[in-house]
Amino acid sequence: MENSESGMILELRNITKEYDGVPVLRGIDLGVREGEFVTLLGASGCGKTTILRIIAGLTEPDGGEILLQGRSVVDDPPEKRDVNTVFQSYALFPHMTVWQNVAYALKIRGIDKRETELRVHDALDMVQMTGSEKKTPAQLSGGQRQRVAIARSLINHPKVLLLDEPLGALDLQLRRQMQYELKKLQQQLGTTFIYVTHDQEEAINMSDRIVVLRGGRIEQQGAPNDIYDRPLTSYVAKFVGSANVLHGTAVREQDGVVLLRSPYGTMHAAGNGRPVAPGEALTLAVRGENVGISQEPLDVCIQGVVDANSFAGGMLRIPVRLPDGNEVIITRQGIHFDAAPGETVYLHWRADAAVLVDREAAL
Amino acid sequence: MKKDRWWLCIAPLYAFTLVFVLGPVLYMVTVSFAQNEAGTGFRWAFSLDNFAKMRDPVYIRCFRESLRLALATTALNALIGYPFGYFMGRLSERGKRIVTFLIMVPFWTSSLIRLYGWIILLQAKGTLNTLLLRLGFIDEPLKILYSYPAVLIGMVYALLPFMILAVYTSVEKMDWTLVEAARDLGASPARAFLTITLRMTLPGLMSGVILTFVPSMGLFFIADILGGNKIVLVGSLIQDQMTRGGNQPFAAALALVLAAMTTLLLWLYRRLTGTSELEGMF
Amino acid sequence: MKKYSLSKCYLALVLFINYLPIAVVVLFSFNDAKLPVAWKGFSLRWYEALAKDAALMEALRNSLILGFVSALAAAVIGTLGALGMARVHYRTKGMMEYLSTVPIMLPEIILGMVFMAFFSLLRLPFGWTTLIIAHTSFCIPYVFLMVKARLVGIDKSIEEAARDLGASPVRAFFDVTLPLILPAVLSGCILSFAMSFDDVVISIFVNGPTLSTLPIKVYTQIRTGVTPEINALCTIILITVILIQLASSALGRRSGTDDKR
Repeated sequence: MENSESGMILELRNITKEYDGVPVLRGIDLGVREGEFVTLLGASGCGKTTILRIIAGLTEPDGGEILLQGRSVVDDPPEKRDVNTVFQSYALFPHMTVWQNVAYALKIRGIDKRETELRVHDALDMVQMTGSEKKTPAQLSGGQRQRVAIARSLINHPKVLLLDEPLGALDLQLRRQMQYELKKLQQQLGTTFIYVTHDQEEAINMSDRIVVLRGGRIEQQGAPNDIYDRPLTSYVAKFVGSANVLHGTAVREQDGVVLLRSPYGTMHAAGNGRPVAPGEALTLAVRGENVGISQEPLDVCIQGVVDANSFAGGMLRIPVRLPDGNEVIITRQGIHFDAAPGETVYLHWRADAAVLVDREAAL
Repeated sequence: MKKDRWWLCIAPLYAFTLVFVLGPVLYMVTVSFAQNEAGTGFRWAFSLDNFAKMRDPVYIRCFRESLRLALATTALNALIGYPFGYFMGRLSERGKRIVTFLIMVPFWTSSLIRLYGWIILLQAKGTLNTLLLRLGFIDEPLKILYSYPAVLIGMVYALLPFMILAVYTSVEKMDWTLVEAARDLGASPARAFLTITLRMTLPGLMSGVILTFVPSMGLFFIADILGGNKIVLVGSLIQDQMTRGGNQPFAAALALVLAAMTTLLLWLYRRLTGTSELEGMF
Repeated sequence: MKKYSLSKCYLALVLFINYLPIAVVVLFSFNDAKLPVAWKGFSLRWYEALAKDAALMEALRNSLILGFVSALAAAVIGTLGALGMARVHYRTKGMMEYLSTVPIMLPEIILGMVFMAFFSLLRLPFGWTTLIIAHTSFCIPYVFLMVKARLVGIDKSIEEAARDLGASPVRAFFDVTLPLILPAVLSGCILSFAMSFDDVVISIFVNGPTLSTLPIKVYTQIRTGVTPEINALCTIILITVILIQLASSALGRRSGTDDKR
């Protein structure tokens, strides 16, 4: 079977979905290449799980088309689609053993006993769960159940594997380890993975491509680096990497650098190729790690007052309050910082460290 | 779930319930407004005669007695059954199994025959009297049978298992760490019980009350057997009117009032205790 | 420690009183006399008489059949209903659920009377038809509520997972849902059987002139005059019940299922 003309193994065209009159998906167009690890990233309610369910066939879209390897599957029931899902709750069959769970897909297809034995053994080996064949899900830990769920879904070598926030219930250490293992697995098998999460860290670590969703629409998609360095909208800037979003009016553009005036000072950002009219309302995003502080005012800087800082995950987080009540968060490695709470400081950054973004559109 | 499959599933239930539950109940309501005729027939003419007839003190007393008995039975059942269910829920696994077994066995054995056992025990020449006479505690046999206490004993006896099981199920499902938390915060055992345990097992108690109160409003045959002819309950009245009296409309009217009373009291109890469903038991 | 033995004493006391009438009935089943007042010697004559009592035996057989059929019908109707209603939400759902459980929310006397009137209206023949319909109607709530409660505890994704892995809807039901609700269905069935087997009030109204069930027979006898055959019958039922209970709990423990009733 050929992939669709564009070489995509999976294509969604203008998928729409409503629940009780409330639109959940407002026209999703998505193409996934074979062997890609795509993550659908967004806050709860953005529709990412709905998209997954629609691909799996567990929910019917109100409109739109789904092409799997060039063939329309939008009318196919879930059991007929060559797509498998790892559910958020793992959904292991509680009355069956691990072996029976993993073998289930094969049993349905009537695969003979010997081949089943082999394939189940391989599947369990792949997720490092050999030896647990006779256990029941109740006897496994969360992480173990998750592995069994993955084995169960991969045993049929589906074209696409869908994962619905599979790591949500695990503790931090385990989650990090599983991220690494899942990525490795995907690369080994070459299976197309579509992964759903609200955790940007997961998305950045594992994905070939991130699709940021908001309010049932795709806000931006691209490689993790692109999303991180060049967010297109303020939402993406805040959601991925927690950038600071600041508003101002354009003064002029010169040599690829745009100068902005704001109530708290002057700012600059990298131009994005679009011509800028003086007086135009603009928004920029700059990451906390790129913001520097100075005790003295500079040519291009904004003024603020340092607030109480906090320390988490090896990083120091310093909020600086601006005159109009907004905050700029500065982040630093380690625990040392040379300004005390209450002090007035001047914030600055390199022009190319800040990007112009579209102002957050209303939903 | 696909639409057509879903319909197939609930169709039998719907059909059955509409025809054989809603149908008869609606029929009863309409008949209660009909006019009685000599013999077993009745005329389809709207009349409030049946309800007016109920204002006769005889019938009012009948209702009052039935209500009194039902309330007393339920109250006693709760008093005896709740501690039982509670203690049962605190036993070891093995203890629970044993007691469950011991409770279920009589539950399965015909309740009528067991009530007959009470007759054997309580009658004038019965076991209890014989024993008491022999031991010299009394001079002449106690007339327990064919009296109100005997009926009460019979009712409570017949309905106790329901209360016990309902409470037990609720106690068993309880999260005991909540009680520990209360104690940790300074509550005495009694207070922890009252504020935590009692509230958490309320659904079970509620189910038990429903499963006791509803039948006790209508189990006239126990009063029949153990109370002789002294106690006339609404139940026997309805039965009488339907069969010997041949007065369907009046029987229907009585049944309607009884149903209304039962439903009203249940609703009241639900509001007071704040529980909403019968799920405590199941 | 003291509190612990207080609870056990209480349990023992209530259980003792619970078994007292049963003990008496069993005792007098072996009594060589017609009246259960004085002990006149050990005898099995009432068991002989029981075996020869055709009418009583037939009543017993009727009760067993009735219980079995009603429980089965209630199981099918109630389970399907609970399954269907669990997955979808629509406006009249709450009403329907309430209606389905009405038979256990109303005193039996009302049900009996109402069935009798309604069946007369429909001109149904009073006998097996009416008995089965009436019994099924008060058995359905038990099965329905139990299955419904069980379904709530089951992860909805499980059936979807089966579909996702290639099972047709029917197959997913049989492979996944059914095994998980089976304990609830069985419990409902067993409870239904017990309620049906023991029913007096409703049966009196709808049994018709020729058909008799065990409780009806016993009831009539208690009002007119009991022969100790009843005692013998009770003893036999008791032993049967005990054996069945023991067998089922032994079975339950061996298969390792920890399911509640």
